[in-house]
Amino acid sequence: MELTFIKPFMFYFFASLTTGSALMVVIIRNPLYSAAMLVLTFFSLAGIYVLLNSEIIAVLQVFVYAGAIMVLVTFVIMLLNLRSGALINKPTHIIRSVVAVIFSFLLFICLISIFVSGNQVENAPKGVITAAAIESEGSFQLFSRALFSEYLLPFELVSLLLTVAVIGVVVLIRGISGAEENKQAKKGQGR
Amino acid sequence: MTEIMTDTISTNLQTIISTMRLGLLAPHLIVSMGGILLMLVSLLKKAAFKINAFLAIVVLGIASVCALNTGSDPQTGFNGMIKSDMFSNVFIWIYCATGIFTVLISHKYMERRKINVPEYYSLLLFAVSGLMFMTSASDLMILFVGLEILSVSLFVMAGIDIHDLRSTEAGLKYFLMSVFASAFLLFGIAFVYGATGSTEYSAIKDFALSNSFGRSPYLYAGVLLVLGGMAFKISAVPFHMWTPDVYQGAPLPVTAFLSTAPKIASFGFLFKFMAQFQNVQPYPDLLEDIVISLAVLSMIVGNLLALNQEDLKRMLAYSSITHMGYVMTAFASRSDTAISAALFYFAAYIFMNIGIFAVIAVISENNDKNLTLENFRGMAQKKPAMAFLFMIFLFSLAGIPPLIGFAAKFFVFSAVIQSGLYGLAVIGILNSAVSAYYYLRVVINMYLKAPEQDSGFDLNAIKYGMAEMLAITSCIAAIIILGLQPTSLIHFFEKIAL
Amino acid sequence: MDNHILSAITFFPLIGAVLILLMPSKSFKLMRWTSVVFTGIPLLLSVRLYQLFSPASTGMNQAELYQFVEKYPWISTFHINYYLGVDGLSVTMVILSALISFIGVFASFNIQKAVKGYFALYLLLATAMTGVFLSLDFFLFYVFWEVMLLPMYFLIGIWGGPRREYAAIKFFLYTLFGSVFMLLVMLVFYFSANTFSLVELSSIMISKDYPGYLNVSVIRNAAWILLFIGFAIKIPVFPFHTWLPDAHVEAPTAISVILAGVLLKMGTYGILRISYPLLPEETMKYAPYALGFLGVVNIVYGAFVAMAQNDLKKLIAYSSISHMGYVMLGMASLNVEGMNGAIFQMFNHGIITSMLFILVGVIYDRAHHRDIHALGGLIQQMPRYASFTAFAFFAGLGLPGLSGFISEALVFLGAFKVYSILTIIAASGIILTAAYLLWAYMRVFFGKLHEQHREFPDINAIEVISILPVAILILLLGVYPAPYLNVVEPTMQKMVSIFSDSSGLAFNLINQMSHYLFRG
Repeated sequence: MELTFIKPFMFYFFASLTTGSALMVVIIRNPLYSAAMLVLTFFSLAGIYVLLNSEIIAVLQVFVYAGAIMVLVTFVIMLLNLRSGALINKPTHIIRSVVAVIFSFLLFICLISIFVSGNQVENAPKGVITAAAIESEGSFQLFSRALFSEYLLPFELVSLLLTVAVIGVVVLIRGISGAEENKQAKKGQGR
Repeated sequence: MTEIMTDTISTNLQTIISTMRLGLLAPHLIVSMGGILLMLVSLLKKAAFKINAFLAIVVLGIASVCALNTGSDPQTGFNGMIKSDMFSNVFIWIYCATGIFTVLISHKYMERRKINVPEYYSLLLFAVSGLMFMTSASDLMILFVGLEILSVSLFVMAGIDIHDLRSTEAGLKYFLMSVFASAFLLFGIAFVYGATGSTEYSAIKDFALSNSFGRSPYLYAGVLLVLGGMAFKISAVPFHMWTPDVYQGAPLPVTAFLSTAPKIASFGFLFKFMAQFQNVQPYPDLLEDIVISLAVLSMIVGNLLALNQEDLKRMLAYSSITHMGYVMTAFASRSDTAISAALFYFAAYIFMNIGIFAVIAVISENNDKNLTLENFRGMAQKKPAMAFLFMIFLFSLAGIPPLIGFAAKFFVFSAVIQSGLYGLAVIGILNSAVSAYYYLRVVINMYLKAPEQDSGFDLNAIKYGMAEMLAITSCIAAIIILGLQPTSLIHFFEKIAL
Repeated sequence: MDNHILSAITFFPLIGAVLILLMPSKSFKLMRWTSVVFTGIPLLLSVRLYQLFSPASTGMNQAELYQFVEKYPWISTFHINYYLGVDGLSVTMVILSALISFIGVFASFNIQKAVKGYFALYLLLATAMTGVFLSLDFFLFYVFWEVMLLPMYFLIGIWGGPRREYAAIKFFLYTLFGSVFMLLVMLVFYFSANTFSLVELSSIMISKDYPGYLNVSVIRNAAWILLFIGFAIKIPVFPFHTWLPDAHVEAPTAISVILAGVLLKMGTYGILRISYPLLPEETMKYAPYALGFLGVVNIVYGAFVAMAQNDLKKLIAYSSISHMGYVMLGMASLNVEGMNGAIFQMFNHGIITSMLFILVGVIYDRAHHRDIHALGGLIQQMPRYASFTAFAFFAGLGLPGLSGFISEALVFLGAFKVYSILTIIAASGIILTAAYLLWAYMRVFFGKLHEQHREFPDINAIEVISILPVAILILLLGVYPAPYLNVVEPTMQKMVSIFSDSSGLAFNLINQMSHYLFRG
């Protein structure tokens, strides 16, 4: 509470860190480094969540994304043995880059203009869960309660989504191994 | 202060449990449970593919019957996250019909191509449940998760032919596109939430009505981004780049499904979501202009690109962009007539598109090549019945009376003119005339040209399966009967309001 | 039967088409004679229709003045009805289309390729053509109009000559574009007046109590122009005519007969049935230019181009363009003589051109080419053929005593009152027509007979059957046109009456020029 005056500075720090590191993810050619940058992005996002009083989201962010998912990503990179430069394609066509630059600049202008023109953040409706509620009940309790009551249906649907994803992976992987078996069987016949 | 908060939360909890109303989700749950059941059946090694096909049809049939049960009065459930009404029921029927048709045309094709993975049908059911959630949703959260369930199933289905690089490419492309679209959509939802404090449609509506839409740039930007995300799914120009490659690469039955149901679902969502802003005064000009330009671009660019396509699947991909452009014109006219016209168009589009892909699937089962227009030379002499059916589908797509394609276009353009968007109607009607050219090219090849001697493409090898024949004949029957007598169907759709 | 005589005339050929589809594909004879029967019955019925028809049925904006009306709801959401009926305008066109369909079957007897498909499509075409002439519902009219496209497309595209694909798709796309404009206008009318009934629409529009969007004069003007383009492509009017020679040259004989005999009339019929009563004010405004001036262009241009042709069929195709110009000129005059002449000319051109095309088909069957220069001296080898052709050519150039003369004379009489200069220019078309027809006749029948033409048989019985009824009709109507004009005149009088202040009608450009030239 006493740190209120620092909050804006903290926000801008984390926000620019997020944007900067996300940009680096795209720019850096070495996949490992860009994975590391992604970790940094996740961490700074977690910082923003903390500023918003939702510690639980911040923790989940770090656990799930920066921890589990990024370990998986780096693991895959190691397995595929991608060295730096391995993924560098032909240089993109100049027209494409020009078009891309123009469009992203337009989008940027749009977003900026929203921030400039719309000083309505103050009037915008705020959620039912205020900082005070979090203080008294705790972020984790509130989050869980919302997740399993109000947002029960989306929660269950996400589990369905994950099931579908798992099935999909199994189908594709089995297809690949099946194809290889077929190949070997054919080779055997050829001999 | 804090106590009040806790109180409201605990009362919320009670009301939520009392308002769950699982009954509203009967079709959705039956279909997703069916998907899981099919997964278990897949463990049976040999016969699983056949059993699953049968079970999938049964499940979809039961689900569509269950949709009858929920009744026509709008009912909300799950704390306002689900809204079940006649509108969503119609879509559920459309999805079930599309699903059943897809199963019918999949079976033989998949077996011939040696991609008879039993889980394919389970993925199809999951996709259908995703579609159902998309339209029944009255909360952006549910919409998003439904969309993801759909997309994940679809890109696995598109890439299921692992022996074929083109199929893998199609799967990957569809995956990347979905991710891109999701990013747009999520960004948009975040903006909408930021502006209105809710993801629920009715709350968004209240906000938009009380704080004039245009004065809330966040809401504005959010809605535009949501529209953009959906434009990807609909493959409206300029978000259409993925369409031809995916259509061409994916196994044909999957293409048939991909080209119909997800687009219809996206439109269903857009109709439902944008209806919330119907009474906003003044209606944001920019939004209207953007929808109109999406429609115009889709119609014109889709047509122009289709004109010179030699590959049949790519041609149909571009033509589907044009067709969605026509629906977009109805969407732009924002009236009740437009909604019923669009619903009619969807019904017509399903019969035409599924039918035509069924014919192509039959033709290309034995020919592992890209189908070019040249391959159809002299088909009328070799396979007169098949050529005739194919021709009816093409003419219906071209919108020639008295087939259903004409009735559908007639209703849509009527609605557009009624809303006073003359320019849009003129562009649409002209495009519809232009499109006849490329559909006719196929007919010319079939009927007016002598068969090629050795094109490496054997039309004589074509054999129908029972299931495929059933799908094709029922589509033809619908095209002709509903084309001659569209009254009852359009009457039924007219009673549906949002 | 008399209550449903119109439906019977329309759908009998369709029943025949279905029967033919069910026949074994080798039984050519059976299919041919089935087609004869199922076009013959409508012909008999249409004669009966003519007997029962009372000239007092002048139709237009009064529903009770249509005869044999059949009206059933079809798509009730859009107030679309299955609405058939005849007045003096359509009754003769129905007879024309039944007659031409009937004689076209005989001209198709020599078709050898995919006979089943040919006759099925042919009969479908016959149904659609009749449907167009009988519809009193705009939507129904449009549906028949479009349905007619498909069989025509295939009949040219499959059974046509060497460049048939090109000709077929050109025909299809031109006509489709035309009809698309019509669809647009149709929708505008519907959403203004909330009805598709041409009768109701005309009574609303004639009362000048414009509903809805039609209250805006720009929209009315645009509607007239779009409708005109749609119909002009079919007639075909000068800048839109290029599909016609291609289609005629490639089409088989019977299809050329149908095309020239009936299809072209649909354009002018459409203008009379839809543009005239629905948009009278705009008709007054545009008729001198769009119909009068372009009609004269058609007459003169068509005749000049016909003169330059070596292909006999192309020559007749261009002569069709020229002859349709008379129809347009007559329509543009907006007085009873001119309109009577226009409608009579529609009928006469239908029967005369059919005869010409059948005769060209006869020579093509024997020589397998139609090059005027490569023929000659046929009068020695085929005297009967030569006399029939002479008769047809004389009818074509408007010899007094044959029906073409009367209609052309009426057209000039009517048109001269309004557009004197234009009419004088148009009259020169008669001389040009005489020139190219006689010239062609001379080349084909006089001179030296080629060796390889020595064994040509003369015209045979089937061919005679297919032209004889037409020839008799040409002669009869040429001597005594009253049976035709009596039926048509009351309707035309009524139609003219809506253009009450036609005194202001003039082709200003030319008139003013003549003013300067002749009066100083």
